[in-house]
Amino acid sequence: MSKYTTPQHNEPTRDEGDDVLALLLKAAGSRQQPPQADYEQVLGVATAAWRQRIRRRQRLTYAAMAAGIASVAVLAATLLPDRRPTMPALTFATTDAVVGTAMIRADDDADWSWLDPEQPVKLIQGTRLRTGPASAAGLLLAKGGSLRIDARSEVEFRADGRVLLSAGAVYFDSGSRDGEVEPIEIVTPDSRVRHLGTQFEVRRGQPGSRIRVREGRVMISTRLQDFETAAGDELTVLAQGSVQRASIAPDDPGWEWVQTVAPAVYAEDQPLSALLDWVTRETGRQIYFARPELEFRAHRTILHGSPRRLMPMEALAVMLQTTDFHYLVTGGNEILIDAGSP
Amino acid sequence: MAETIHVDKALAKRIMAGDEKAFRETFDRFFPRLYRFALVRLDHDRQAATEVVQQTFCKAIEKLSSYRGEASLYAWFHRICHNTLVDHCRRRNIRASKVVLFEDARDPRELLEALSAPASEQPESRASYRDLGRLVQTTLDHLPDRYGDALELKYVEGLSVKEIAVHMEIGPKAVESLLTRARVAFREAFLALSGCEDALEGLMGS
Repeated sequence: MSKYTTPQHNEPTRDEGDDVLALLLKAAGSRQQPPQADYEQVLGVATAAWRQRIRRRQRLTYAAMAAGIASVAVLAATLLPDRRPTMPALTFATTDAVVGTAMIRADDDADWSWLDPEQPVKLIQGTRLRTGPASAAGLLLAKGGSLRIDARSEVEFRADGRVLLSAGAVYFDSGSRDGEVEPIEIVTPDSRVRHLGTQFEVRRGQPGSRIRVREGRVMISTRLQDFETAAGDELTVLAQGSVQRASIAPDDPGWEWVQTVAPAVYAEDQPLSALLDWVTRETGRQIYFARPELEFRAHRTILHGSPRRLMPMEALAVMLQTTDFHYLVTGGNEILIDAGSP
Repeated sequence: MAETIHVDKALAKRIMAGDEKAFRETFDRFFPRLYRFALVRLDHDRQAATEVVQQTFCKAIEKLSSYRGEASLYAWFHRICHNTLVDHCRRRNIRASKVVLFEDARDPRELLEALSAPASEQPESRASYRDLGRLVQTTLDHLPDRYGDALELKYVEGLSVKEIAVHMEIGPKAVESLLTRARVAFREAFLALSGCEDALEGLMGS
């Protein structure tokens, strides 16, 4: 037997089209493969969504199978009514705005499910909520005020009314300057923050939780002390319970994310002054009138149309176009309102 | 095509029945293609592309029981990805003109016409060599499974039929058959269109 063997397989003859194809494909080069981190992130979420879908489908099947048994059970229940009181789960909040992606889980035994940005969803006590990258969620709390959840965050709405922040950041706005809403408490491993009628943010991070107060006052409890802090303060609670202090302006760019999921302003048939109050509250900028009588006119000017889901400054620009008012941002922190020819 | 759809309908059923292997294989096949589709349209913003593809998979899984096999399963996922991309851009006020690229045109003939159009006629759509490369890659992404991989291994990586056979875990004869079908499919999508010669002329002159 010769040591040189004929190859069992010969390469097929190339035709002219092959050359053209080769030229095109070589010029194009290899297709880019997605980064592993992106692949793993999407695979994890997609797998969770798929498993949840399968379980739901299976439950529907079981439910159909159990329908006959259930009808018997209903009959029995009618004959022997259960007089034990039922405790309905309390609604903690309702979703108001979702940018990007957010998931919820009603309890530890439930599956994660996606929040539909178009549909308000009631969140009961015990619910966990997660936001994805480049995402945010805005909630209207049942007890008043709004809670906004930044990207890559996770919170749990505890049965005792507290909000447990495991990752990321939340922003609370009592919704009015007098703060007439029920107390809320944001809890992290190193601190508890209670509002006293205010706007504030709590963010998990290193070296510890950071609390920023935009308006009003908050009460903070650490391992070492309980103390109040006021608007303009930025505190970092260190692991031992000590606190580092800094300051932050109400119009600092660090607040901008909260505007993306701000509760919508309903300007229809509302005075212009109400829109201006909302813009001030959301942007941290102060409103000034070019002439004293314009403030009075702003109270009497009724707006028509509603700038739902516009950022505050965009809403201001759009709504003022329906009036003879106009505005100018001066000095970065002030909005000057004038009327007539600009 | 009919065979592909028949297989895809069965695949969708397996996924809905809880077959993890079918789900994972489908994910691995579709993810890179959808990711590339989104990435290039989102100005190479990785985070945004990941978000769009993630939403695509979640929406597709939710609706999978409604897949009736009118098109291939990939085409069905691709349509969802396209709609998700449009929604994403709308939410972030990204101008559609910045997002919609020439591969979005439904008729491939138009693409080739755009490639060969004089600059004065369609300056915005005149294809550069980079565009041509992207068009080739997009064509590969739209071919049935394994066709794109086989063509890439053969003509970009320069592997022999035997080496491809080892890589794809099939016999050499099957590779030959696969390559033949892949070449035909690619030509149908690309080479058999009018104006192609102009594009190739430019390519060969580079």
